[in-house]
Amino acid sequence: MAAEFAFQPIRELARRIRSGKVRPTELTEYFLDRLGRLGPAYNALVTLTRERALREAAEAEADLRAGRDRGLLHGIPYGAKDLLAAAGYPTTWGAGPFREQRFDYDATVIRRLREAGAVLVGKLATVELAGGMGYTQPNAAFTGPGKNPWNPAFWSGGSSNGPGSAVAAGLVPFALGTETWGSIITPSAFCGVSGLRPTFGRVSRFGAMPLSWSLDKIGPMGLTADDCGIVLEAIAGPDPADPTTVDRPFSWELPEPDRRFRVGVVKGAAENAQAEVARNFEASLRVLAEFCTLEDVELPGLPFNELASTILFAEAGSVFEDFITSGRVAELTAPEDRYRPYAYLIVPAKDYLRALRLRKKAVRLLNDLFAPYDAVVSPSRLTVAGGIDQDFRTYMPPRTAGVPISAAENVAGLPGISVPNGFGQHGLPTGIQFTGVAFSEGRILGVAHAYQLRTDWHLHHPPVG
Amino acid sequence: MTEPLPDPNFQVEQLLALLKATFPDRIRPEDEADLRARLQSSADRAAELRCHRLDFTDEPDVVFRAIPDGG
Repeated sequence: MAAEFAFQPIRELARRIRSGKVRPTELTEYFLDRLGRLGPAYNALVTLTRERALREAAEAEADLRAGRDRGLLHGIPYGAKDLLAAAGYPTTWGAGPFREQRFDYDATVIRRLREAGAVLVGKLATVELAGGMGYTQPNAAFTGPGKNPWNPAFWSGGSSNGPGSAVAAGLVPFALGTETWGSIITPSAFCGVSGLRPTFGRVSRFGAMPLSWSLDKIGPMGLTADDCGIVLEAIAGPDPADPTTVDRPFSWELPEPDRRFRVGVVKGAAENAQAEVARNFEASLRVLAEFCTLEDVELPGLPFNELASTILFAEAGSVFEDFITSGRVAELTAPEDRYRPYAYLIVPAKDYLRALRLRKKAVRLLNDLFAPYDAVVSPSRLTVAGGIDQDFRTYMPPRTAGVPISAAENVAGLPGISVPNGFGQHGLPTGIQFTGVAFSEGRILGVAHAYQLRTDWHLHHPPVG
Repeated sequence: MTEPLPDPNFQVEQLLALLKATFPDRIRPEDEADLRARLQSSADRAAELRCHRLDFTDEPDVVFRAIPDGG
């Protein structure tokens, strides 16, 4: 079977399907084999959805033969983080106590991808309970620590570690991840892939494990910003099953090649970064300066980390109250996940409500600040990935150090995309993040796409299989 | 502007004791220091949030929506 299907962007695979060079069933068999054979090496795979995949691929093929073309994703295989319900298969949330859990329905995003003709080939690993119990090191899921395809002695990031590893290793063309606070951006940066966190409300969360009702987002991870735009178009839109979704049409269109953009650079965003991360960010700014007007942007002095933590802990404490108080939390893999959640049970309601009230002010300020720009940029992460045995606190600056860009974006529900921008310590990838005002995915994807037209970091792939 | 908690350490010790009493044998002695630090962080966060002014018009965003026409 031809090996050149791995590491191909969605448009190229779609072109090969249309030209008759490959059939959806053939493509699906290829990625089922590749994911099943190589996924375990990175602890990236939870369940291979073989029967469903072959059925969906056969339907996609029959539709194409009958002249029913559902678009670019028609016949394209993908993986989904195992927080997302898929009928017929376990949905484990990465947690031992939920290994046998099943839902008899598809999450809205899974259903929408099926309707777009995409083929689910696997449920991909996640840090247990989306990392919401306070893990401090990579071995925090029954599937083991996520291993980085660039060097399996290093972490793949979390909590969407399976999607990050699987896309980076070419085991799936794209994947769905989720982010409450950093869980798409981090593995995208650490694994050197492109990952989009949509605006809160852009994509239905129905059928996804709730961790924090007002912070959770679902988004695509792929090889390029273009891939992310294609997938977002398929999964975005209002859903009666998720009352936080908003009826704002999203149609991904490639920007004009000679378009110029206005880009804000978060002041001080590279402070506390590893030297290589800062160096790569500076190099990215030089590339951006070729087609963007760059201006410094200073975040308002608001307690973004405190807001994000208070909201997350209060909501997660409520979501998992019964799980924590029953003592089943002791069955989790990471030792710290077995006791840290008890602190969530005693967040006073008044503190939570104060955070929500302050959040509203913060959201207004941040949107006003970002509104003039097509995108606002910062390093995706301040470090490359650490070792799979390494406590995060030994190499990541504390969240309270430096500019709280990640907390600010997530508190305000703003979209962001991380794309690779070089390599740092141990030959591991680094990333640059493009953020924008709410519902400006088209603009930030446009800038990221233009950046990728002028760089080749997204064309580097680890030596896999 | 409201003043931060006068003695967050006292609060933390009370809360830790409450958790240990409510959930006996769940929190191992070797985990107490880390949990205490987490509780301290929560107290510090709450104090920080209280330093930022709010007035009566600052309502939170909530998800609740009344069902029109009885659903």
